Amino acid sequence: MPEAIPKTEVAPGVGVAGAPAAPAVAVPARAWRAKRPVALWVSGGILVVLALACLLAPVVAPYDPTAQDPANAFAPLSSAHLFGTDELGRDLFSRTLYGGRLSLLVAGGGVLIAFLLGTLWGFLAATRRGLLDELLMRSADALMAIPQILFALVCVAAFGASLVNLAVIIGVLLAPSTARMARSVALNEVTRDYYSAAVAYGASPSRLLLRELLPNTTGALAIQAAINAASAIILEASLSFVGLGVQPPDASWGTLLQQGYGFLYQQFSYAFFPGLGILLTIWMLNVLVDQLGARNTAGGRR
Amino acid sequence: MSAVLLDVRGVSKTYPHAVDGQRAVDSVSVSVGAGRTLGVVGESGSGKSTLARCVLRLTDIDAGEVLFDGQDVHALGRSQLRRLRRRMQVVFQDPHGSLNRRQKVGDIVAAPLAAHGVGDKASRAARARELVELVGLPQAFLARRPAELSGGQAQRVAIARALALSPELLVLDEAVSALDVSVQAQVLNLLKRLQGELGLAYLFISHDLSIVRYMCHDVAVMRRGQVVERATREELFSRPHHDYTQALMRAVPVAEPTRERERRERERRLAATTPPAAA
Amino acid sequence: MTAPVLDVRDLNVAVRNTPVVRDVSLSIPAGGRLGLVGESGCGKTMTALSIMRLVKPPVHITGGQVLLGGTDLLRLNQKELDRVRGGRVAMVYQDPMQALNPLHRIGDQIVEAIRLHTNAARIDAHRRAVALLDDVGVADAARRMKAYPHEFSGGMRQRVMIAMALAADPELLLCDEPTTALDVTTQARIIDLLMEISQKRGVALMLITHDLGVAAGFCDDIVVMYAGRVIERSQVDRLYQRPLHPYSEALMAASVDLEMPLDQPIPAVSGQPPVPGEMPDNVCPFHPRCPYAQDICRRERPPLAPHAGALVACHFPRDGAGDHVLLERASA
Repeated sequence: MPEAIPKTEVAPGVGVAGAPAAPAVAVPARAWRAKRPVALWVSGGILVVLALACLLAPVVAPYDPTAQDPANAFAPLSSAHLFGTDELGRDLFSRTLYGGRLSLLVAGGGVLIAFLLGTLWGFLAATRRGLLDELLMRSADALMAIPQILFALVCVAAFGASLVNLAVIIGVLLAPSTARMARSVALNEVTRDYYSAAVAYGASPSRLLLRELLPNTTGALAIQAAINAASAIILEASLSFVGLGVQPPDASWGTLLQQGYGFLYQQFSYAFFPGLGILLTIWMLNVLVDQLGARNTAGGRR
Repeated sequence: MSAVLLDVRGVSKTYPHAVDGQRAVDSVSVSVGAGRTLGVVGESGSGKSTLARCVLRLTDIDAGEVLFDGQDVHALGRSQLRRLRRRMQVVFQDPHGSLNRRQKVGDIVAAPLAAHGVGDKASRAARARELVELVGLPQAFLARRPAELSGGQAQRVAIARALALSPELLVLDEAVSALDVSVQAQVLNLLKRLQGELGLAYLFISHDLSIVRYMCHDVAVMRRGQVVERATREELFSRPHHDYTQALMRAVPVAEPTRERERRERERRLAATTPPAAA
Repeated sequence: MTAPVLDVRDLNVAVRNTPVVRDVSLSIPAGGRLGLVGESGCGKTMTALSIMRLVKPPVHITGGQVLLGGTDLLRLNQKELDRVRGGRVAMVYQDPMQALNPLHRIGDQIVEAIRLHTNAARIDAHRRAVALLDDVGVADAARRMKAYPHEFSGGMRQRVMIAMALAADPELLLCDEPTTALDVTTQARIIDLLMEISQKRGVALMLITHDLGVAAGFCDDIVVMYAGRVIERSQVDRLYQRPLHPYSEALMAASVDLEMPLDQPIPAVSGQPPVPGEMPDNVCPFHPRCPYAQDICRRERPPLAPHAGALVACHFPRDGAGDHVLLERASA
């Protein structure tokens, strides 16, 4: 089916009934972004490669990350040990891969929990309005006011730092901002006729949320998830770096950073590559968010 | 004399941020008989769309009652309201806005059935086929998405969906205003045919007097939230009483140059003798 | 016969590779009022925007000439175009907020329009702006100059927009559905205003509308568009009494008015206008919906040709007796 004619584009700067307000400028930023889907694919591609490599660590890693070889401590980078070895002779490449795996799993779990919790939170507030809305949103504000590390400290002290607990802590910390975003987009959709029509034919609240709201807000929610992913990675790394996160013998990138930090002069790759992993992941996530954001506003909305 | 299906009694609604407490709907009383059409005509700001939302309980009312088949719509509990909603449906002005752009036509049309747990997947699909045919669309459209439909087609889908639960009353809120002339004619013909075939009652809200005259048995004229005149079609169009109704009728453009020019000349002379209002 | 103010010749506009305006030719004499009538998707708005060169990629003007008093607007460079737009030709939109900046007082906006196109000093421009506002019927114009757009009602905003459009005393005014968003009562007053402008200032006017009633009382000539092409052009009285093209006929018949018989269905043509690119070039675009279509309509696209004192693109236009018979064409 041939695509519908795009809404007529009026030339930029035309304000006063045909008289342009400013001389024609160079190609507007929005057009530039739209013509560069390359960035979207490159960032997405790098993320996928990173994720796959780390998640498939058991298959990809050449060595057991816990296998010690003290005689071979701080071996230089070589073809046998791509990133060298650590203070106990463990292969750093394998440790980094397994570290990434843990980081991504914990962060990923956090993002999932934030999504489920935050979306429901925000949607409920948007559809119920009134007192419930106030309650939900003010509690979101309250949660956001608590310093994250402090909150994590208390939770870890109370419940321990198991991987699941960490994911939950991260998820809970990221949920309020997700809720705000979810409420914001939901408020937009709730005023639209298709939503009113569904209310009018008697759709149940769960149906309204799942079948009407959710499918029409995926754009914004996906962007929020990507933002959350970046935050989650930093959170996990920060927590592990100060010893509150993933505990030895498990090692995430944050833990490796902490351990490698003490051996910076003996083996720079110890801390360098996990750090690079974190940097690259967050950078690519930010580019992805940028690209998705441009698409969401430029083309999608009616 | 047909039974009164919808009885709106003294309904008022004021929006929270209204200027000077201006009521959107001010003590409005109208009624729709079973199988008949009531036209509510007014310009922008008259409150006619708000009235529609009050009737459907898409918004609360501050005073009065909306009685559907004797039941007070605004006093019903959740499950009772759901049951009642099967009997009263709505078609909105914006054809594409009222369809969930992520769903296929077949799902959109069957959605009310799914929402009420009527039948299984197969029977719902069969009903969807039935409905699509009823509104004059080819079966192939069941697999299309709203973006692939024209305005007229989308509005037909909206009508099909509204008929899914076999309602007794259809609230049509400017349902043809956004359509082109030729498509408008098609949809109006469809609505009239459906009324004859299915015995539907219509609450027909519009700003277009000519269309209201064609479609409606009874007419209520609204202005600034109030009903200023209420009459049958015959009475209203032959002997309008209220000044406002008369002004509205005189303002309708005529699609015939000589008469249109004459009409405008009459209007101009009238306007010259009356003080100018803020237009 | 004086030269027309606007002379559009074979205008062609495309969106990416799909033509949406095809070989459109029309002209307006000084002080003339032309109605451009058609349903959504027929290309009328695109035509108007192209005349002002207000289109940008993916929309391209692919051919033709737009002669404003002899100057081809399509060949002007940016600087010359800026002077012409708003100066010699101005546009009035359906939504006043497309022309009005919500952050500035309307007086400033009108003054800006005046100063952009004339050499008026600030004080003179201000005076002129007040006069303009007064002309368009804004009461207490001097005081209202300081108001912001949101302080006006829809009809008033429309008047302000018209005042801005008149700021530089244009030769031509393009009005794209100027009254569609307004109430019937306000509509009439805006049309009266436009009529006054046309008669008193001698400005040529092009009114784009889908409302046949509005066009009937206002325009001298009507151009009917369908699927990107002009399919009929006729003097207004002639068009409404005897539409020649089956589409024009259908359009008139389908319009609901206060006199329509109540016991019959509205004469409606089934189907809808073709999507751009859907119809091949060598057929009549209306033939699938036309009650008079025959074989030749599917093989050969009828050219826009003179018939019964009008221009019509049909193989079977209505003749004097009201029948639709094959139009014999002289071989080239």
